[in-house]
Amino acid sequence: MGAVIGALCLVVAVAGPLFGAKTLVVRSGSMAPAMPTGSLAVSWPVDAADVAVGDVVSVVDADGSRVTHRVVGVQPAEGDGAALTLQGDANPTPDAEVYEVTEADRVLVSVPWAGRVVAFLGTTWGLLALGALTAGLLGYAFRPTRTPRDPGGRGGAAQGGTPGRRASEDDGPERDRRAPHDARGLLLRALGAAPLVAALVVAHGAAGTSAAFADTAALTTGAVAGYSVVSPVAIAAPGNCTASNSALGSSMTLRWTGISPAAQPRPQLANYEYQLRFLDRNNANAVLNTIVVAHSGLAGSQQTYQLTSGTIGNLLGLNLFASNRVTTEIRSRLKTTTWTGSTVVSTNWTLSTVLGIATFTCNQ
Amino acid sequence: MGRHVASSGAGSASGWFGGRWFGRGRTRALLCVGVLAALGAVGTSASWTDTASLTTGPLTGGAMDLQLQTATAGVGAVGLGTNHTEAEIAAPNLTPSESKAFAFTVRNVGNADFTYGATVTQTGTWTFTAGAITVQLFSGGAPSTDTTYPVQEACAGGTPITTAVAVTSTNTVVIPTTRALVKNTNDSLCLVVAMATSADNTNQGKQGTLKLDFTANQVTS
Repeated sequence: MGAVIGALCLVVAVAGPLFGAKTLVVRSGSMAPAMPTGSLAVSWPVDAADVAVGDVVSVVDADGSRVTHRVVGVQPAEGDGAALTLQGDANPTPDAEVYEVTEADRVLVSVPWAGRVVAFLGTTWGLLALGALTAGLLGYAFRPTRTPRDPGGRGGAAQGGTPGRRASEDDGPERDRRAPHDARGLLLRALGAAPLVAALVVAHGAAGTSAAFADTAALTTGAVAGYSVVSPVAIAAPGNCTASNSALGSSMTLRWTGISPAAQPRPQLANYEYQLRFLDRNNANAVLNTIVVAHSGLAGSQQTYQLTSGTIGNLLGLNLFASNRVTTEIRSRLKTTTWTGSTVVSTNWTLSTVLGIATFTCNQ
Repeated sequence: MGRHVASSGAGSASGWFGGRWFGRGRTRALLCVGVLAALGAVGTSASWTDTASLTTGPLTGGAMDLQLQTATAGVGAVGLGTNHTEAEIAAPNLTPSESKAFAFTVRNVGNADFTYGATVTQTGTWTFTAGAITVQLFSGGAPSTDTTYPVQEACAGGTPITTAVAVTSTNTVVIPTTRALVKNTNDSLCLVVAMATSADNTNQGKQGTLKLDFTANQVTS
């Protein structure tokens, strides 16, 4: 029976690495309680198509570290691959990385604490202990058998060999009456020792695997808000517009209430200007011109802008002898930006020649 | 007498293998138990000569917690997957090119070293136009204070972790290379929230809230 177990060990030692089975030492605790730190897990490679939600699989992440977590999501990927979403049982969220694999190592069984034993065996003291054990077991397995005097058997060498051989093969004076027959005995001993030899020969390590901890935390801020540009206020007619027409020259003054900005750190008066836009009502409100006017005086004080018959031709390209109908739109604007106040002060006026005199007419 | 006596190589150990209980079958079974353990040892033949080659690395347990500490709301995000709100990280009345700066701390609480990264996203009701609001994270740096228009605060002396990134409805990386934080240490960061110079007129009076998502992963080797 022992020989059978010995043979089985040999099969496991060789076939395991041959078929890709791995022993994994769990190095951290994010798969607790199923696989606490220090467990030894045995994995077997499976195709990506055979991986199901709920399996515990071991994959290698983008950094080259081995990660062993439970599958919480499977999506087909290119070819025969799958994209696996994994999550440690003890972690609050799935792993950030989605692992694209064509095969994965599925954990078949895991034994708590066994990983710590294996890890110990990798240390200096552990190796010394293992070495002593191995030497002892090898020595026992290959101890010379003491057979009854039999010229044909292996034990015969003890009788007829050279002094040196005799000394190495048989020191004891006693005879083992139950020593096996020659070839069978040798085979049994070989099988007993073979697993040890296999272990020595097969450089197959138990890979460390991380069931690594993860944590997430979100920092939510207060409100981020855009400023609202302060607007001018219209003056009710007729105060918003005054026309003065004479043969010596005509003029028209537009008026509006200037802005009152809030205190620092908001934009101040000096950071504002007014944008006056002139639209031709005879031409689908096409823009005749846009000019910028500075604020004058205190906050909220009345602002004015004057148009004269002498300059309006250049300013707006109007034909004084035509019947011109214009709208002036007045907006506040934040300097160095495109931002303008939402309220527009709008004034309609006309300019024509009446009885040879350029004539402005407000609010028409 | 029928006693087994092990010879050369296992001299004094003979007593262990004596007696009926340690018969051949059981002995071989014991051999195999030892073998299965030995299967775990990497490069066993090499290990006789190089005792420095450990394979599995340290076994670590314990706990790991990324926490956030802000100026007014104090320490938060205590525990796994928890969150923190700091209302003082706010920027009312922004106009194009204005910016506000804030300092906060990322803390590694627990027994494990970790590396962490972060992304930023819009949260709550967001009415700004695309790309109007940007954030930039600095390592270290003291937030400057600006109380006159235009308010342009910066993280003085800080090292930029990225260039300014626009805040969108999807997670945008603000820490492109994960930062290492040894257990029980803190990382001082500085955040600048700005309105882009190109933000157009329709952003007046609009608002939104930012969310920075931090993710820490344990360093296991």
